[in-house]
Amino acid sequence: MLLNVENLSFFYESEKIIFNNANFSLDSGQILSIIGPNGAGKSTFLNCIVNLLQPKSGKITIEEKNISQMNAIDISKYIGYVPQIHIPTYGFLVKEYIAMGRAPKIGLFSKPSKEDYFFVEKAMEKMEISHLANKPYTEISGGERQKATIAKVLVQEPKLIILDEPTAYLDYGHQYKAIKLIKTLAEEGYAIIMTTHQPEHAILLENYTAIIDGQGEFAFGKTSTIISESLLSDLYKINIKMPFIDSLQKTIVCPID
Amino acid sequence: MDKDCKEVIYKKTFITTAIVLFFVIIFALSTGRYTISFLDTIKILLSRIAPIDNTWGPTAEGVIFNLRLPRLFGAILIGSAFAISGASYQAVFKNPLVSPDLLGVSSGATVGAALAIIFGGDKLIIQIGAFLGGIIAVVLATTIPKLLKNNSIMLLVLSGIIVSGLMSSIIGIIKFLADPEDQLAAIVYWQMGSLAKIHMPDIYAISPVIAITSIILIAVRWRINILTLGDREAQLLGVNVTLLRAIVIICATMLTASAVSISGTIGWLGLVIPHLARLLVGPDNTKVFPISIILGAIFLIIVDTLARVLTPAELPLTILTGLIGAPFYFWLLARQRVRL
Repeated sequence: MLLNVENLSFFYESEKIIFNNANFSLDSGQILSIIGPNGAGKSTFLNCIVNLLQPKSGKITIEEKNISQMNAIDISKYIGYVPQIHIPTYGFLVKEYIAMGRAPKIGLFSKPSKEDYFFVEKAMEKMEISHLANKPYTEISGGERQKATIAKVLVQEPKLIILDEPTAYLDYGHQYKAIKLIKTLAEEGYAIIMTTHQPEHAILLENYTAIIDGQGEFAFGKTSTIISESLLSDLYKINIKMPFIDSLQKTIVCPID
Repeated sequence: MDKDCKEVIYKKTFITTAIVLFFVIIFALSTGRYTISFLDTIKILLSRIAPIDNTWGPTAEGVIFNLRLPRLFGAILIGSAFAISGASYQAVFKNPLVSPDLLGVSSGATVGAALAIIFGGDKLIIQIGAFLGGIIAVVLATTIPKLLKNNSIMLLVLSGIIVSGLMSSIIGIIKFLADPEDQLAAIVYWQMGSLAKIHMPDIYAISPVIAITSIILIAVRWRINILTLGDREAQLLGVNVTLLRAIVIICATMLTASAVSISGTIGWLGLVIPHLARLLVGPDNTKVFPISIILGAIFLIIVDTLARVLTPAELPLTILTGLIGAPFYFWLLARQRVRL
């Protein structure tokens, strides 16, 4: 098992429990989508997984190693993190930006070598952004920025990729493309954890879904069994139907009055 | 587009600025109340390492080696020190509007120097006072976030404002108490910066600190790039953010404090030069740092030469750096606006 989470709990003050007794494991090639309302603690959960926050109890292991005993460099060799798209202060060229993903493999006093840039070129080809190599990262579109950020994680060569709301700030078409891309990455053997505000995305990705409901409950299960009309209606406090459309052979999520 | 065009631009910029630096050096050594021809200047410099017939007389040689060369060394060291510490601060604080004064190093140094002046200290005591004052101000500014157990950049910036404000008031008190005949004038003159009183012993005193801290900053300059992405992202790329940021702030502060200790405060340099460097070669600090060093040296040599020759009495440097730096900064911002 690549990632193992046992009895994980986190709370800021003892009254407000973010999640309690979270248990799950994830293997290479598997996808975990995390859904939950605003402020429920999805980001807090991700922060615990990458050891930026200390959980109040429980244990996280990656390849049998306890993550709380690993330093930043060790963790960065296993976990790649795709933050929400943001525009940094300085307009590094796309290739310079992606090369920063090689940081865990580059010494304190060195800079990326030709070999590192070889990895950068391969990742840009894969993300189909080679033509943007010499453009400032600040001057490309949101969808392109996301591809560049994923390319940056790929050159890091992690086993688990964590994406914080990868579809936020993307237009409809790019959202769908991003989901397809995540599926492809899983097929190539990366384990994936992502948060999303769209239950449809969890359904499209199949595999596993975890729910953080804002009341301190953490539920994990097969996406097809865990996501239901009643669960989504409770979670988002609106009436939601999930009809199966015969002509598309797909379940859709639809809020109704 | 050429695949490595940025590398080519960088190499061209590096060579061009290095050539400009050479000519500026020759120009600065030749210009002044006692004019020496460029050719003689080059010959005089070379005569120390190669046998060349003396055709220029002892006066020219004395002017160059005793008067102008120490100031030139001072201008190179101090100009590049301000520039590289400005570039470092702008990267660590993820803000291109930041100057090395952000955490109060200049105002702290002024307090130290002013105290030394009113207690009648000699030049060395004033230098030591300025250096310690600058370091103490930054230590204070970095202690406040620790007391409040908050590690954010914003709080560090606010702490810098608190410390600078406090130091400015202390400077006010000292000026109020100072003897208006000589001490007050000395403090005001010191606050405006000058290289007029720099001699070789001053250069020897600060060059080890400037060399060591500059080498450290240059060595970690690619890692500093990663810091500009934000703390979270940097840490998840395996960077020890707290340690690296501390190293950069310590080195940049030591650089500014050393420079200020022998020249007095000089405004604008640390803010403007890194901007110009980024305009020429882009934001990658592996390129910005070397170019900033050269540009900082060029800028301060020119300004110091103007300070020597424009008027019979020497002009304080901050007057000139402000007169040149402010419109220049406006021009830089206007250009960047167009590109946005």
